[in-house]
Amino acid sequence: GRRNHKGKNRGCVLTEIHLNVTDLDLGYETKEELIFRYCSGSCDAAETTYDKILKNLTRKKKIVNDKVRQACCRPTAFDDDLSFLDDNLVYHILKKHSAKRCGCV
Amino acid sequence: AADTTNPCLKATHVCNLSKKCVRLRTDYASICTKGAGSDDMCDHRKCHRALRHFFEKVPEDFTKRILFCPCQDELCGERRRKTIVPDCSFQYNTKPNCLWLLDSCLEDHICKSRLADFQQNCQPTDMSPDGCSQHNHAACLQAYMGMIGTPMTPNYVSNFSVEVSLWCTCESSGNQKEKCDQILSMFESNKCL
Repeated sequence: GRRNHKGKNRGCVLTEIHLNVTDLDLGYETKEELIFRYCSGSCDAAETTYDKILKNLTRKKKIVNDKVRQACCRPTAFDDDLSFLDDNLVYHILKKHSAKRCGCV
Repeated sequence: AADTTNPCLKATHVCNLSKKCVRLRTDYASICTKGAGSDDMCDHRKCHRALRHFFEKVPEDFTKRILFCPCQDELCGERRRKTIVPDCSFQYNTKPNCLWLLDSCLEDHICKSRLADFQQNCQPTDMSPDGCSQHNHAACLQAYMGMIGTPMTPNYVSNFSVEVSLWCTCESSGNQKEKCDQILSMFESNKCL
């Protein structure tokens, strides 16, 4: 995939964890397991001029709006769907449940 | 976290560690369960194609474990029977005559060649310890998996045994009863399999 721009925001990375499907707390009763991948890390270094301006304006209280946010470490692509059989042996499909690539967006 | 008492569940866990196995299992599961609940809504052809892809492209280590897991209890047996989503891939409203099933298999070039393969590799005999005249039980299992996703898709008949069969009957076969029984017996009560 696309590398983080020139080593910047190295903080935002894909991490994986082996879980039971029930750990997801989505209401399924099953003994199946999955590999869950998520994005974590800092996006402080991911600054564009836009981000710098926002930061400066917020600091100077030129803008006071909660909804203005700095870049976040988020999935830019999701893993393939995942199927599993629940305890009643009914198939379920999870979509967009796990990250495939991460980025500061 | 693994439930070690259910070999079929364990086989699923092993599959879940392989990206390819997960992907192709999910492919067939989503296609074969589409329209589930409503009457006869699933697309048998698409479901069969996705099942063939799974058994062709996923390494045998995974597919064999999932399909031939040894069960001690009903829950395990039900998981094993439901592996191929039989509601869409195996059971239909009415059970046709097995010779009709054979005809539709012979009209389909994939099914025809897979059946020839199955007949050759799973020929039973009393003479050898594994019951296979080719002395190759593994090749027979492979050939059996090849039949899944064809018009002659076999499956387990219950959650309690390893007996397999086709979704067809030899009742009212008339003077072709013998030929019909012969086809059916390749799957039912086959010593080699």
